[in-house]
Amino acid sequence: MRKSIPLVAVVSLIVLWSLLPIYWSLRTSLLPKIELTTTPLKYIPMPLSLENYQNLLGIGTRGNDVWIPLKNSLINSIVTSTGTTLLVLLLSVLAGYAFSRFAFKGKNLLLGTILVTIALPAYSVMIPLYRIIIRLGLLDTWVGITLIFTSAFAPLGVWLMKVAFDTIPIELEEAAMVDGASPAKTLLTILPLVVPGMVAVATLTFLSAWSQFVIPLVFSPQNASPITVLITQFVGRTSIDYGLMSAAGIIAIIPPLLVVMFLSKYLVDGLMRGAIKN
Amino acid sequence: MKINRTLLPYILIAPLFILLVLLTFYPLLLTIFNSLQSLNLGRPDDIRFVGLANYIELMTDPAVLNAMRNSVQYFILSVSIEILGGIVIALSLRNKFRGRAIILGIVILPWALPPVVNSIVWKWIYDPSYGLLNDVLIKLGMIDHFHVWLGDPHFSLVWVALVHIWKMMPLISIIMLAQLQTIPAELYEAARIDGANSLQSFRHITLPLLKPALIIALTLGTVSAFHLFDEVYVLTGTSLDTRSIMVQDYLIAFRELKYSMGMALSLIITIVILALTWFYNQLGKEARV
Repeated sequence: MRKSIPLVAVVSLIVLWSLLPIYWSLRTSLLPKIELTTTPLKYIPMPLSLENYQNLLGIGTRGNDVWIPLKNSLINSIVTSTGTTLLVLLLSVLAGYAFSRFAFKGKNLLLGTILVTIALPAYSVMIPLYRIIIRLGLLDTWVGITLIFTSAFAPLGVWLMKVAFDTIPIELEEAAMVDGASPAKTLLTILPLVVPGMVAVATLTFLSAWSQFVIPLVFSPQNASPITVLITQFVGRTSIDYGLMSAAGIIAIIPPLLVVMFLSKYLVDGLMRGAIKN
Repeated sequence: MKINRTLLPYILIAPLFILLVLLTFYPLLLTIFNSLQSLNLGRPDDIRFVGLANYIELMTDPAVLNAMRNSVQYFILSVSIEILGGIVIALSLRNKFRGRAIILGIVILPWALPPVVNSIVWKWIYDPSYGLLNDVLIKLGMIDHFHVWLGDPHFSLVWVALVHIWKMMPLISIIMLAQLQTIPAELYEAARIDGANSLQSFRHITLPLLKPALIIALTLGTVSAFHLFDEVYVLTGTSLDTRSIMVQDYLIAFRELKYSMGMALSLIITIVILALTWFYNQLGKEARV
């Protein structure tokens, strides 16, 4: 197909639209504070300064002032996002396999009930959930947040895993079962074939968990609060330090950036499959 | 040990189902029930059954009505721009070219980032004195003085919506693109032989066959627009000009601690969203007959 000039122009605009805001933030994070409020605006971070990153990482003039809360919130984000991803993966592989391979009483009703929760806003259950979580003693804990995230993201995972299992020919399992394999062993035989589906579920879940703001704002306001909640607390302080906030933002987008860089193929495939099969 | 094959599927689903019962279905039932009561942490001893009183009070509360009006504006702005933009992006990326996979990765990127971070990124772009937007528009000669974008009582909502659109448009584009790729090239070939120009092909082939993706895009766009919280909260706080219905709900429930009132409002939003989703699906069915 011949590449037309208007098409190249449109694609360039799309790229600019997606990347320019991120570039601008990177530029802001790399300029010395004084340069942020001088005109004309500098479009390129020269002179380059690592001051903001040094302050964030506890090797700057501000000592451990910002580093300790940043470190804690990063650990919280990593633990809850990874924990949620693994748990969602486990639950949706099991349930997805059941819905794809077995005929049983109440199957459609069960599947429908699980899937309808995708359309339910978290807000509709948040207030009673708040009281349940307090009663369970899970407020402001990794376990509490991970369980809430899992209940929110697993239904979509189940659907994507069911779709993934549906595309695998059943003959493979029949052969395994004829050989006398247990159900667990049968599932393990075909598991490698649904790895792309699992990667799609894992990336979607990880990104959703990493981005969450309101749920942690309510359910883990302090000890277990993630990077998203911490960043908004920078705004509330006496003066808004945009350089520092931009640098914190850049650090917060590194994990999603890596996911998109290395797994965008699975992500795009997963989104497409999930959407079109709906 | 041999596991009974009739029981096995239930065992496989059980862990998820128990979690959903505990953290979704049970709280949902409580929400419905408690929204008819007078649960208020400010008055913990005064729990009565009040029927629809909370709902009636909400529908006459000026702050709630204002937030609803704002959310409807967010909904209309976001959904129309996301879908139009999504179609343009999908059409420009439908043909294979070198580096397309990388471009797709770049397109999806804003969607993958936390809305809180996006909002901080854009807040500095909108800055009245040192923001990129004013600087670029002045240089292009499109404005003659610096604007306080987020302080403008009439248009601040548009600028908040734009940040939300920046996140959601990638997802809509990818869904459109997925549907476009299911349209066989032969259809366009045949239309061209019959003398159709590209506008006619778009009108009579692309648009009708894009309908299923349009329905999904409408649904996702609507749900996310009514759920809008993070961007509003970070960009403009609780300002009345931009306050969305979800921010209003958060304020009622977790700042004023009027639990029952908050639950009633969250149910109203849920019903609005489910009704719209149902309506879109009807549109989709009609289209298929």
